[in-house]
Amino acid sequence: MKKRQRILMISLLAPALFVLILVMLYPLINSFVLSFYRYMLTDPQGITFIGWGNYVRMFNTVGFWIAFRNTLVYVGGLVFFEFVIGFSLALLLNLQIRCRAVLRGFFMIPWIIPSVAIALLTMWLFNPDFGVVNVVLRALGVISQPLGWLKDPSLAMPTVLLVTVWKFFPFMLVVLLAGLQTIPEDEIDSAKIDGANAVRRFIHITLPHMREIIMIVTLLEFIWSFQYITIIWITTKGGPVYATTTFPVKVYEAAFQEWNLGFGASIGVFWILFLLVFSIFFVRVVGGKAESKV
Amino acid sequence: MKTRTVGLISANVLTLFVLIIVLLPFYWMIISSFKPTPDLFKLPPDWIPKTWVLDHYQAVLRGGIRERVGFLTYFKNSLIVCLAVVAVTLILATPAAYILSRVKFGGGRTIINVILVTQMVPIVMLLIPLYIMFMKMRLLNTYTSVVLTYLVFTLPFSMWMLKGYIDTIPKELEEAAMIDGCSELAALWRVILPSIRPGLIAVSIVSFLAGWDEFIIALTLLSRNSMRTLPPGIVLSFVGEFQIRWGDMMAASVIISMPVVFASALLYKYLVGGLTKGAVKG
Repeated sequence: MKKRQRILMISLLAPALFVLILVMLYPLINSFVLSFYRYMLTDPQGITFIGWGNYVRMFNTVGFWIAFRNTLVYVGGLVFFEFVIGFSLALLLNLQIRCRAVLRGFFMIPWIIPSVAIALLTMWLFNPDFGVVNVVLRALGVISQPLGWLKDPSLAMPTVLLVTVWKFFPFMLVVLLAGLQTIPEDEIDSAKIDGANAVRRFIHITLPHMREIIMIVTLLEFIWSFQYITIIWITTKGGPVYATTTFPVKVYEAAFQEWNLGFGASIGVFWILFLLVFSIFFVRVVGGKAESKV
Repeated sequence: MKTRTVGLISANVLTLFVLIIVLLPFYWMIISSFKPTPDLFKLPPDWIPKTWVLDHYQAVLRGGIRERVGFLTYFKNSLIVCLAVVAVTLILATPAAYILSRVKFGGGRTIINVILVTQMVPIVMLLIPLYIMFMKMRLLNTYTSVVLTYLVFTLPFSMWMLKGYIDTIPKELEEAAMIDGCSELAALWRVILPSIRPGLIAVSIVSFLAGWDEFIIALTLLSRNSMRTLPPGIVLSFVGEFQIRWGDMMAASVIISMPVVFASALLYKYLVGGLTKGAVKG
């Protein structure tokens, strides 16, 4: 019986594990190996082991450090603004009982619309000559000259950041709102009877209840934001100059435009190690505090 | 009580105001797709189109008929890829999630930590060895390559999400079925599957949305025009051309948004349930 169960268990888990090994673990290990090779797809004869060569080149390239900085700005900006907007709206929606589900549904529309549609719409809205954003801002007197937005090196990053926040804040909103709804009513009611005002209730009841959810959802959003390339790739391709070149753009350019697969892999390896260290740090600091408080 | 009512009304007004700002760009997308081309370049623009035309929709859909390969081909390819991803994800993730739920592995946090680590792996980096692998296996420009690669992100979250649903079903239910003479597999089929229907629907819709949205993998693995899915297909047909056809671009955007908006509206309850399940339970 015991043995039969073990066989059953393995045979149920095996197909999924096999696929994950094939498309995830094997390529992951392969990437680590590739990153130590000069591997140009355009030069199949010239594949040679070069040790830390790709890494030395990576750290000595100006473009890499610009991409690193841009990635931190883009990802940090996404998580921060998505969280602030998502949590504020979740608190707002949590106040009212009527139409809450319908409103939440409408707020989810940007998250559901495909990235490609969002990116094309961005190019149209922020078009320097005919875009409606320039028209509106000039009518309101915010700007006197039409701006280039995606074509201006100093404005391109804020523009793609704004649009990506707009696309992804609904996820934060939905998850945080669901978290708010699990807070027991009677705790809030008894705090009210004790005379605690809204701010005190927020700090002493809402936040402790939400800490775990906030930690998971911000960490996930942080990790996912690192991956996200679609809007940037379609609207700016990482430009103008290097203004919106982030890690995925850099890896993709190296691997699939210069066909330098080894160099692309080395940037990917740096990225995963950075994320791993950051996540452990994040879970220790934020999660550790949560445990000691509860 | 009165201040509370005033507070609620102002909260409602504020929410509606934010909602209008959030949705306004889509209004512009829709009306731009119906404006005659000269009106698109009018300054100041018409806030409500003076004339409504279907020219752009006709141009987008006709492209596929006249040039043999075009929008309708991309649409068909996207549909095939997404449905295949949903089917394979469900078949692989459900039994695996059952085991993850019923068998204890280490501490309670082990599985979520493993899932988190899988999310950290850069997909553009995985694409490098996968590209080499598919090239050697002569699988470039096939649906198989793209569907397999999409499993990189659909499989981990689906296993995690379904595990959350199965956790809520008491073990006694299967045990009762087994006492009645069911095998473990029959118990899984007859007891677990019907009770996690909302979870299966949620996983399907989220996997479908992910496939419908994906751009960079499809762009790389499917370079032949007749194999392209909608996102790269649209971008390569409209962007980077000498003259940008804004009206056609907006019409194409509306068309590719419609299936997912309708599907999400229809399955809204399941979609929200699925998204919140994993995180809220902790």
